[in-house]
Amino acid sequence: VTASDTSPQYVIYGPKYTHVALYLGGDTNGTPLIAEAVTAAEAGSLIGIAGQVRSIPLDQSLMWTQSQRVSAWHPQVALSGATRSAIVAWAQNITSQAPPYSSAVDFGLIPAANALFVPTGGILSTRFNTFLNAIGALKYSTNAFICSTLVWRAYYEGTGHSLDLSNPNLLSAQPGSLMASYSPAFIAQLATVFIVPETFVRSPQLKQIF
Amino acid sequence: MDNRLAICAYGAFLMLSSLSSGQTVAFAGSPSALGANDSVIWPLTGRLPNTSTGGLGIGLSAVPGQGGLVGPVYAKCPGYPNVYPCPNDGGFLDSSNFLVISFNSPVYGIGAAVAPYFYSAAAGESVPYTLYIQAFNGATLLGIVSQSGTFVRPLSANGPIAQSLSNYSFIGVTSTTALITSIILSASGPPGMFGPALATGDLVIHDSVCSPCITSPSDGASPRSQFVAIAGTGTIGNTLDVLVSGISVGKVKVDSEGNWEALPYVSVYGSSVTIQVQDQTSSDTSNTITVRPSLMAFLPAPLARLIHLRLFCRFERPIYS
Repeated sequence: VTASDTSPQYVIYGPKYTHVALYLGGDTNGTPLIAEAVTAAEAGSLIGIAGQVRSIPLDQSLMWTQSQRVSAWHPQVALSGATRSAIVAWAQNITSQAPPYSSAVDFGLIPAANALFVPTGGILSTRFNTFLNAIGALKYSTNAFICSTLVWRAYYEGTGHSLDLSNPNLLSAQPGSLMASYSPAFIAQLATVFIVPETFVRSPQLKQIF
Repeated sequence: MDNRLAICAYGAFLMLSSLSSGQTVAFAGSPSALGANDSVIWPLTGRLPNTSTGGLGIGLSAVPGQGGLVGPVYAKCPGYPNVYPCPNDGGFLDSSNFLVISFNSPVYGIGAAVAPYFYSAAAGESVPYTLYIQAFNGATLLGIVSQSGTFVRPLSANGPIAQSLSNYSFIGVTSTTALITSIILSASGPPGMFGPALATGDLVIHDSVCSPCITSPSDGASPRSQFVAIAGTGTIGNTLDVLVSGISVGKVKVDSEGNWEALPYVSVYGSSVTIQVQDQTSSDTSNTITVRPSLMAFLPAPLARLIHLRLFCRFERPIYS
């Protein structure tokens, strides 16, 4: 999990970390490989080579080229070699298909949902739920990814759905960020369908290596 | 060409072994020639186990080449209903059936003790055969060793297998470094020609003598990175020091399956570095690999990243120097 001070995420919700990637292990030459989803701008000149949702040598990954802070994590409960291999295989399979990064329009669903968020005694409007479901569909999509959904889904699928790193999702917005004006109740709703790099570093199911 | 001639004490085995020139593997005619330090029981029925039981517990898989079980399936032999059964359904080594054995980590060698099981020959009939082992490192064929001979069915047979089990033949393949990741064990001959000799450790292995071991990447690798992803085996639960050019750069714990992975920083422009791991408990050191990071890997990186990524281990918090 890494942080880049050029990420627009700082303005949006003020996270400590802005990117998450999955370490795949080494290739036959010992080159460490990373699976990650990056925007077209972040992919830069490598977009025609590696795409946006990609398996790429560590030194060419966003976590290496555009980060100021790095931390590494692994599950609190050690996974078997077979399960770790399954997680890696799932990620490799997805990145080999080079799907796109989720579009900016998709992220527009969040402020739209907030505008519709009218909690009344715990009862949510149908229209709000429609937007929330649309955001949730992005989480579960395998046609497009953001960095967080790629890593979350790899663990989810590789463990046969037994390890859901989005539960709990301790999402929050820091004072001064755009989402700081959103109500805690809305952010709690959003946390059920939207995951970010902070989801991983705050997950009680993960343990920091460094 | 290395030819050997041997005659078994009983059963008139006439054997001629050979291997092709330019190979990185050699024929081994006995477990001791192989340097065997591990073994697997080749069962009468069912499949070979997935882990060796006579040594270091190396993981393996065995797949018959032509269907059937790895171990023979028996039926009562016509004419010898109460003595020994006969093979009837695959799992043998003959002109149609072979055995593929793959290892989780490279080994120095493997050999098999096989006995003639054929039941179609008449008493006193001679049956020529050749045993083969093709040894591979990944998809690369390291070489082929073979052993030819003639088996004569005993005249006083009280069952075809009763006499032959004590006349097993051994074929092995060995390498000076732990390179062999899989073999194909095969034979010419009539149906059911060979099966397990039922000797103790009828499949013997010379495991990597290193413990701990670095199994990946191979010696001489050229990672496109300032880090090298290393992996290997060791004693379960022990902690290993990762040594880059002799200097400890961190530690990693061997997991519950005997495996470990680490990602030490090795950046030296175009230069070679050596990597070893050392068991903190036994002080045993692993095999040494030399890697030369490729120049294309060197991209600018802030100092902070170099410090934080000195060692990226899965199993234990690293120590930073």
